[in-house]
Amino acid sequence: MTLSPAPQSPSPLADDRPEPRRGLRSVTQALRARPWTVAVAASILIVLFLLPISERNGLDLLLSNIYLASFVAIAGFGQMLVVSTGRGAIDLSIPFTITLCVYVATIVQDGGDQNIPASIGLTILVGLLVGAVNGFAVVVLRVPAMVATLAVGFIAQSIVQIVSSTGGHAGSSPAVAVAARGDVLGIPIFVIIAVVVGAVIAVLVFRTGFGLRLVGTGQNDSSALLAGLRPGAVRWTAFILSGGLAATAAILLGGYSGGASLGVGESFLISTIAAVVLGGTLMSGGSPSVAGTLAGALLLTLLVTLTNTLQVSTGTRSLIEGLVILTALGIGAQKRR
Amino acid sequence: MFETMGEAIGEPGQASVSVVNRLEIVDVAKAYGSTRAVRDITVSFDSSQISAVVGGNGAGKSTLMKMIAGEVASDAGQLLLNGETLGTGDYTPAKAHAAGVRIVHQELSLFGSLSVAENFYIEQGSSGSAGFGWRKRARRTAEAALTEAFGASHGILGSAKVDALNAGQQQMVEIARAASSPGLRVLILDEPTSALGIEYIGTLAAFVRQLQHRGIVVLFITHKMSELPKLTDRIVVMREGNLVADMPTVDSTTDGLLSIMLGGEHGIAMRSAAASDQRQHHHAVDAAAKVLVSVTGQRSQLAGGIAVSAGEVIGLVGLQDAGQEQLLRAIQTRSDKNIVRAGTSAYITGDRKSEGIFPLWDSESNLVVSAVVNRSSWIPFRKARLHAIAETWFSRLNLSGVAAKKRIVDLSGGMQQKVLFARGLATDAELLLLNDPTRGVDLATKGDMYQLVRDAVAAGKGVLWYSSEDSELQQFDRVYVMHDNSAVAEFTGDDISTESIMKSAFASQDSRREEAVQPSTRQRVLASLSALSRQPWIFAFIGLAIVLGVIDSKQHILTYFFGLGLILTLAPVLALAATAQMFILSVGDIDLGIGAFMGLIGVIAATSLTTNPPLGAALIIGAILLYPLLAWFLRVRQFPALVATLAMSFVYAGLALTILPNVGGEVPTWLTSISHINTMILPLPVWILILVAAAGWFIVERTALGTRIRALGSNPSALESSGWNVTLVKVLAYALAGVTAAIAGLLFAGIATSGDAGAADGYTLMSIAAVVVGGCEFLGGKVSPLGVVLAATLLSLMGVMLGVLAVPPLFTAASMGVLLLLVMGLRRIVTQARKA
Repeated sequence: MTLSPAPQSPSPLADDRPEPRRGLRSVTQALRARPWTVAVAASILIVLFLLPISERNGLDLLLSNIYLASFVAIAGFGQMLVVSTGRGAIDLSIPFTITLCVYVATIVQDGGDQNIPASIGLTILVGLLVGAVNGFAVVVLRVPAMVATLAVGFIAQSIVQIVSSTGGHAGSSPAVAVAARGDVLGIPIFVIIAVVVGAVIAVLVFRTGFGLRLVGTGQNDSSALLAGLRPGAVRWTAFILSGGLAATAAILLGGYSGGASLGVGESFLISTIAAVVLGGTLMSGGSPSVAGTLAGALLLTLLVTLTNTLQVSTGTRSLIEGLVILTALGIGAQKRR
Repeated sequence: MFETMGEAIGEPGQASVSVVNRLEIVDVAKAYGSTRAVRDITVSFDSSQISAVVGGNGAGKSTLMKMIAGEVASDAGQLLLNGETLGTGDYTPAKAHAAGVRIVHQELSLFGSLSVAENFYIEQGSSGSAGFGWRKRARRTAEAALTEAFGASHGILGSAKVDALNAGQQQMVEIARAASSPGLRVLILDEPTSALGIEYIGTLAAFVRQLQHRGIVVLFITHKMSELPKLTDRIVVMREGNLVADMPTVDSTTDGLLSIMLGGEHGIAMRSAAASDQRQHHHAVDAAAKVLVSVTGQRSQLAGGIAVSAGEVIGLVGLQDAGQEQLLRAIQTRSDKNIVRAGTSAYITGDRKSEGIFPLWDSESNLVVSAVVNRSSWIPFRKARLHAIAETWFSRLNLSGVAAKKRIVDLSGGMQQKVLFARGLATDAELLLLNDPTRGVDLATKGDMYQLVRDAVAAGKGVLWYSSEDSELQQFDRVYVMHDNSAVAEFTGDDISTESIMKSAFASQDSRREEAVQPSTRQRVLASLSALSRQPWIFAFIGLAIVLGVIDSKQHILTYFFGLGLILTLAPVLALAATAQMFILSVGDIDLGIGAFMGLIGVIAATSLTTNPPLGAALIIGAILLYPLLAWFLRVRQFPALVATLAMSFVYAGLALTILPNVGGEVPTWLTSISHINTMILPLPVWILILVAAAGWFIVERTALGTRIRALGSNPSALESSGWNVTLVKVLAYALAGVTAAIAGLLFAGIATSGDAGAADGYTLMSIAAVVVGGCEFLGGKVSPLGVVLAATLLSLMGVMLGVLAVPPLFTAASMGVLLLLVMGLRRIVTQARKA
């Protein structure tokens, strides 16, 4: 019976990682120290595999999907924050929040440019509000996060249906749509936004008191309470931030797709969870990985590209996606103690 | 403070008992990296004597015991029980259990959601009888074992849930349960008295003596020197992985043991520290000193309440579980209006694992966290500043720089405790709340901690200290005696003594016992009402009654046989799906693939099952087998079910779409005709619902497998060390879920009459909603099969109710959400009201 070390949470202080050992052991150790390497390695493999069979050149191929990856990453950061508060916390309301926020953003923009600041402000506010309700149910009513966010998601879904049935004109602003396709020095604006958001989240998680409180809460709730980390406030804040990040993704998504539709956010339930998990964030909490979530989102979108390029059937595509997630988990997960 | 051992009471020296069992340890060694925890130890223990193994932290005694119990593999040497080798490299807790070697840890390994009797059943291991009447037998075993160990007044019912017992009672159950282990030959008790009431130590001593006479080898690990004469005949001392002394208890003295344990210069320093443990409180507390905390109301029967001022050390004492810990937590979290805390406070706990450490962090982060978050939450900090704080404290506590980067869980208990002390002190809090911080810590570390407290008080801080150790009374200026969550007496200075404290604690005890003799009829009615409100299914039941009432008031549908059958058509499908979800939940997992799985079964039913029935049946069985296969995979790779089942939902959907890319096919007629069967008295769906609830209840609550499944959800590692094959239990739970979900899928396909891969997707989230409304809990193996079926029926009728109320269908989803929040909110309110 060998005792393998559990993954170590990124400590705010640890700049020197455990000394590498030889062979396979060093690989598994490196994986534990940097959980996102699995997602990055798999992404590179897929790109290398795609290059010869794709008609387009490599960069185009990457860029065509990196838009999608940015949405998933931004919403995924919110999922990551919630998951990291521990006790099986998860935000199932994200897809509904995104759909609702896409409607809010595009209805306020109303196909013109004059309301952009108002639409951004109002959309973010709606996202924060949904998060606040989630937080209220989880922290005050003590409803398990999975159920609370499911319930709030149901309510958001009804609101979306009511909004869409009243027939408000939902059209993205031309300026936002242009920005959505724009780039700076060849790098798409969305990617820049996703990376900037990621950097802000990374600083928040690893270099602020809030980050310490978040990660501590996820590791041991009782310890957090008695050490003065105020875990209730931490949970609530995580849900609010998740709502805000979903709204941010929704604003970009609205610009990208040019309008709103009922199913626009649907895929974000599974993709945000998958991005977080593939990125090596511990589902049991207390160990987030920002770079991993980014890499996980990229891997997911590359998978879609791969199946599109190979022109496989929907069934096979679904099978491949499932098996890849299982395989990535199998590689990244720690062995039984 | 240390008495001479020989003077103490007890029946030492009963060496005339014949040897029945003998445990031999030959040249056993264990190293962790470069640290040699146990160095080539050779020693033997037999049933002629009760032995204690003592030593400081890091002496290797815990490692040695864990090797005997199979929890740690030895690097070299042999373990022999009655001359037979106890396995070598493949020696596991389960094998130790089978050989009759049993260990009781400080951290208990009970199953909280199981009854006391069911805990005893699990203990019997796979050898236990699971035949008819097993529940009754288990209850008798449990109650008899408890009476044998702690006398007839133990007051623990076999049918009581372990969660409802206090820490002391749980420890009693744990000890009695271990002692009842079939074929027990070696019993290791690691600090068995840490949570046990002083009143039970005498009965425990008599009990272990009885076990010894039965031929069982009893080994103690303890830090409480004063208990050694009562409990043991022989003392084995370890230091730095070596065995350094082995003597009869009668020949030992505390001072002598101390010097052997510590050895060398450290020992001399330690003894001088111990000598300076003389009462320190002769400094007069300034009358004008700031009052840091005052407690009035329910928590104190004293006129002045409880008050702690700057510059004093106040003890909280009394019998076990008298509310000392709760008071400290309430002060720290400001959760009680009757507590006024003037300034900042820091809570330092001896219960390191459950409320102290952050296990994924290194010790440096564990140390600085409170100090950092006390400042700003949102402004980024510089790492250098954190390093500086940590450095200061590591040097003050004489912890080497190596320890700073080590994960806290890799440190010894004493080292962890020092880090937690430093965490509290680093916050500059004015009030220190100590929750028995020297629990399970060696004497040297204790001495260091006493010094830290003295330094803090000298610097003007106030200390409120719950201690379970008599010797620590020396440290207090003043004590409050707690009883039944309330302070009942106060002693100052030289009046503080074990006798005075016990006297006032026991006096209150007697008065309370007399009060609670005969409950009145009214109290009985209230008690049974309160018991009813505690049933997990009660909210689903009330909700269903309301929904049926609303529907009936508008449509009078309930009185019509066919009407009721019609509105309940889909309820059995959800009830089955939710019951499947419940099986997964009972082992502590969640299934996010159940809807897709039902879709897959439906697709098979609409294609192969019609065209080629044997192939169809084989495919369905194959699909069901994916469930146990997944369970096995989850155990081997140890990753979260949530994500794995999510990935599996892609797999199920992919398979279904491959078999049937578009909606279509035809379900066999026998399947579609099921829903047209005519039944007596009640419509068919109602009969199915009753059947599902009854079957679920029987499997979960009445079968031995159901008990094992709930035990797995409650405490997997304890189930494993009791000798059960945990993987098998999990595989069987998943197989049950797979079969149930497949039946749900077939029933659904029969109603839909054609196949559609995505048609049942909604059942994933609905089944989760149903298990939650039905009163199941996500953690700890607490499930309610009846509640699940009631909730599934309730959720199926939501649409109908909105229909009769003429609410537009747009609001269906929202009303589902509101219902979920309402039920959970109500449950929360009721739970709170019950506590108050």
